[in-house]
Amino acid sequence: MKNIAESALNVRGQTQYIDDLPEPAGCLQAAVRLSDSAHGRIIAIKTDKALALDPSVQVITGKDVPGVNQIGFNKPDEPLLPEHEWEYWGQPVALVLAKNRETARAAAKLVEIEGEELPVVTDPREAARNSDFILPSRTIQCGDTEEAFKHCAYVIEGRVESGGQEHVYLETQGAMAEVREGGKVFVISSTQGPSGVQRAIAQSLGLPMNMVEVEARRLGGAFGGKEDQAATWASLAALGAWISKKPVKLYLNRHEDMRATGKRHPYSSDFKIGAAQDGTILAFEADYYQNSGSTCDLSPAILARTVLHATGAYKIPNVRVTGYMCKTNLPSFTAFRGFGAPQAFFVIESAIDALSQASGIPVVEIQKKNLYREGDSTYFGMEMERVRAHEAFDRLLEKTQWHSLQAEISDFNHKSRTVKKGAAIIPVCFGISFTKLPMNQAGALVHVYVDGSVLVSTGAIEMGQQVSRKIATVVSETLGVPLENIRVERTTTLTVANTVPTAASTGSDLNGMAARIACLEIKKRLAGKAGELLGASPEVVRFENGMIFKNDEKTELSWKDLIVKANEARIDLSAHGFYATPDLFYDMKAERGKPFAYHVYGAAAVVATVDTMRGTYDLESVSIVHDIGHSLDISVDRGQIEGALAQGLGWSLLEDLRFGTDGKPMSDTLSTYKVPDISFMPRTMDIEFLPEIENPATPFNSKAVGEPPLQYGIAGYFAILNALRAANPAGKTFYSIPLTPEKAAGFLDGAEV
Amino acid sequence: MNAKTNQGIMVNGQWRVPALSFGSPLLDFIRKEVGLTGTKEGCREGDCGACAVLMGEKLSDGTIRYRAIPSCISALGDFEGKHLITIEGLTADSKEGLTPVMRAFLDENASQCGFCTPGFIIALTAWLAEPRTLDIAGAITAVDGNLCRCTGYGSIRRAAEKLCRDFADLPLDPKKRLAALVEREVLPKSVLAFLDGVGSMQNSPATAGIKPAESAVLIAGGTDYYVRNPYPTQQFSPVLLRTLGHLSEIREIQDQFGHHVSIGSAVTIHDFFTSKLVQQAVPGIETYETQFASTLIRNIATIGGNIANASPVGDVTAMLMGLGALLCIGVPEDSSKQEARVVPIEKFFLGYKKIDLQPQEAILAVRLSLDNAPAHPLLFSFEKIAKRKKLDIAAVNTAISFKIENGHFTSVRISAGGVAPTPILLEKTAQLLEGKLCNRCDAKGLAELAQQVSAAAESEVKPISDVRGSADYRKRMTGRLVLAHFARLFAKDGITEELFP
Repeated sequence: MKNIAESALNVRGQTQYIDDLPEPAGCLQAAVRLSDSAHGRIIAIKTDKALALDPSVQVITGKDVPGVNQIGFNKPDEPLLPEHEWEYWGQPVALVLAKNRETARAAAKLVEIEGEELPVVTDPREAARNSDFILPSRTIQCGDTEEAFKHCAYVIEGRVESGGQEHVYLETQGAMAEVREGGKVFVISSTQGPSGVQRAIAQSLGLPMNMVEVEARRLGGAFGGKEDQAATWASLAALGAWISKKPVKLYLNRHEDMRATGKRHPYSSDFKIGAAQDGTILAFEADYYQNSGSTCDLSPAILARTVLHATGAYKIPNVRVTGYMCKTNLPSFTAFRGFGAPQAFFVIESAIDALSQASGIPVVEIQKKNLYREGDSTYFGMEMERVRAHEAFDRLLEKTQWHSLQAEISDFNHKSRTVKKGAAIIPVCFGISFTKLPMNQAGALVHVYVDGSVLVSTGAIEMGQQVSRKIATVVSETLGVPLENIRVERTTTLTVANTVPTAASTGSDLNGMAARIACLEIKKRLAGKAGELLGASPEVVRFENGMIFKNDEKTELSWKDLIVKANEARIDLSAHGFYATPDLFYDMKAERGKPFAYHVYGAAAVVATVDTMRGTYDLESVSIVHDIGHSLDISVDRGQIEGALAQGLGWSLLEDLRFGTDGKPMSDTLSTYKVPDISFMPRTMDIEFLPEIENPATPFNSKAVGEPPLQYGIAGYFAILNALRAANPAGKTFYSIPLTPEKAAGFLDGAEV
Repeated sequence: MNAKTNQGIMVNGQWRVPALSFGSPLLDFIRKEVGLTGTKEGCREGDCGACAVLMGEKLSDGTIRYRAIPSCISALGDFEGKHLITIEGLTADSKEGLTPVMRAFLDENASQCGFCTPGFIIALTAWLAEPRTLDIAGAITAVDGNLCRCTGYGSIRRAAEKLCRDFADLPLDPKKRLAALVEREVLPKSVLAFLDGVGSMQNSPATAGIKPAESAVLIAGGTDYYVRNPYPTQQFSPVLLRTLGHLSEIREIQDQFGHHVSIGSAVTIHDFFTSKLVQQAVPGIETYETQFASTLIRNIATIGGNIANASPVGDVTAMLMGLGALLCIGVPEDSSKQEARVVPIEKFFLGYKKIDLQPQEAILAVRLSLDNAPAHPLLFSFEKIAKRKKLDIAAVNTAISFKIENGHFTSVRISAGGVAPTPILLEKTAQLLEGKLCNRCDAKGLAELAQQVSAAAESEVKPISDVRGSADYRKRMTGRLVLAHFARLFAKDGITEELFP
């Protein structure tokens, strides 16, 4: 059965995002004055011209912040509005309020920032040379790489670049704030983390958190971009409302959003890989220079995921990997689906490609030989359980008939002159849990009303990943009540407190478990009452499809009748559920532990063609074998895999985030920054699911699905690289995401990339 | 709008006279004035399609058609007398509040965050309304201007495939098709009201006969103007070219004595490519339509706008330049058309975004020669390179046209965009080819010639580096694309095997 209520609103255009909500009477519109250079010292912020534009104009700067002018929680390096220095091109420096958005925007342009320009650094390696790091570096070591390299038949070194990625959530960032009676602040925010937003607002306004209520309805996409970074816009709206004493809405347009907000971290990395004659990888080293941007934001957590995914899906006995958080004068790079892992996967797959080039051993052979096996320990000491790396990989080889496909491709390339074909596989092994251990918790509040209908509120934000459907399914199955009786409500800090952001693919795991725990509590109380009514012990009472069963026999007692009776008997029909992922631990000093509850496995094969005349390419097909455990909703999981694949392909091939050496954003519109459209995607997307498997950390043995499939896009890179090699065997290999047509043509022309 | 307004716009089921200035973006009227928030603002530059609405209009031949347009970069005043259907209006008469397109999206779970969904549903509804046989390729073209960041498009494609199956039997007659779509609740009944009502109405544009201020901005389609000026002031009063009612020359494609075809500057890109007359002048030109922007934009952007915008990489401009088009320039309000001056398109561009147009002047029409005898037909090819194949601005584009007379290349023209501050003609390269022997039996000789021409083109251009490509890349691509012209035009003669041994 499908719970389509939310989707039905969407298709009718009835879903209300921030800018669609009715505005409270007297609502002012806000705009931000963004810095127009990448680094400078503020001498004065002149507001006369802006104020003269219209009597409704108000200009608010950092010195007007009543509380602590600071919203950075991992490191206090992020003033809400800077008072001394701006650190990237597009940083909000002043907030402007006016009667309408046009006036606010026009006035914002008239705010003058008088300042002194300071030196600009955009290259992470330059920052590293200057020892300008956000936080100290992080190294994980296992075995002895130096010693191991001495015994390798092949040792290859190389350099890998991967670019940033703009989220392009279709709904831009925004918030609406008002100060209600008694000075209580109420904010509706397009955020993945209402509690984080609440905390930032409370801190910047100097209020206790119980004076700030934050609500998140549906978001028009987020992908990590509204995890920490929504706090800026919500706090600014709240600040505007606090100072003006009027409701305030702040809604960025696309151009402002693309300039002002963070994106996926660009990385520049070095690797060294060593293997035995037969392709067994014996040692791997990597140095990741993470371009962290101007502030800390989530960079340490993202770097953690990088260094914890350094070996991809492979068991490597000797490892040394180091990550550096390099401070630059670019927007603070932030969470984006995959969260540091795609960058690591691209490095290890590049290393394997280089190893294959040097040794002549086919990539797929190296991959297969080195995949994790049951009982293996990772290089950070986590024992791998229920490993499915081989299961997925072998099934993919079989499904794609890989070896005959290779022969077909080679035959095709022999005959075809202007079109060359290439294929590549990537295996994925992705750890699930927040790498920051305390974040692995969730709460849920479940109410059963006297008519038997159920309302659920959790920390899980609905942003298109259809987590509400999954939670409704968990509640329905746990209570034995049909889906149509269940409504999953928006998240507010009133119903569930201290939530962690809906992120790290954990939304339905953590919140689904919390909701299930709350439901089990209610069910326990109801089973007592039902037992009493049916003259049976509570243990033999079962709930199914809105009816009560006794000893597996359907009784006359319905869920609805039971609820009425329970209410009359003054039984609590509400419960709060709380879940904390068990058995996680990590020793940061030793860099050893079990940071993940479990891993998600899978493998993807991409076939692509290159037009050797024009240097363009097409994605022909993608085949995926993926581990979703017991799916709570197949169509939702399929949508997550296809969507993640699109973003992974976009990042690998198309999405070209550019800044000038002066830090100027060069790709800050949708006409200069292209994301996949329908014809960019492969004509066939064949997705197969591995059989169900036990997974105790989640509701009903389901598995997280949001991020792991993003890595599949990387196979697109290598498929095209292989097609280019078929066209020009003398072409010079490079590992540089995105593989744009410009780079492809460069390979064909033998040009430097 | 203002006092010039006399009729208003039919929004869903109701005629309304806008209060906003006729120069406002249509999206602001829909969201702010009418208060229909199902139409979304995603980018304000026509690049995402979240703002798509259906536009019904009566054509000069009396037929009524519905197309999807991007409301964020469309001028409100252009919709005078037209029917707009927003996502809310689609379900006006539906019993369960869902149209079959919406139902297909639900069945295939094709809406995730939902922000792009109304735009997709509008675009696919317009696709169903177009009197053509349905196939998945057509559906994909219909949504080539719509971005979705959640689904990866798999579910959207499946929804479109379902619609292909369910609506395979739609009539091809435009009027019957609309009636069938109303019957099946794809379109609301207001379509019938519009069909009946508008027939008796005068096509009376808002600004007819109003002499604009000398400084007035002239807008043809607006798809570029509003990208550069997304927030016009409330007093913004442009001259809207296509509403200049007394000049049918501006809006129509006409055969001029069998000598040339005159394409009104307000003719849309889609109407240009699908015109039988244009196809007669330039055989095969329709195959290049989908390289230009998106379906949504092609439905509103104009030929004149593409030229006058003077982008160094305008796709239609590059084509017209390669074809040797002539521009008829005059003062639109002046009915004495005789005074119009005729300028070869390559002389029109004076420098970066500088054009040969006086205040109050406009491009009235574009002329293409119809001298296309079967004995020596015009051969034409267009090539474009961009990061993304659809709805992307070119790094480099080029067009070539020539004839083969008495076994020799004649009337050779080669244009290139993205390699100079204006679109340019590669005159030296064309000269190299002009008069050369064209022996279609000698593939090797043709290939050698192609290589020479390609190398000449590469050395003739001096591009600069920007976000769309480095100077070196653009130079190399100019050569590659010129080679691609030959590979396309002489494919049957075995040139590919010679060029790529």
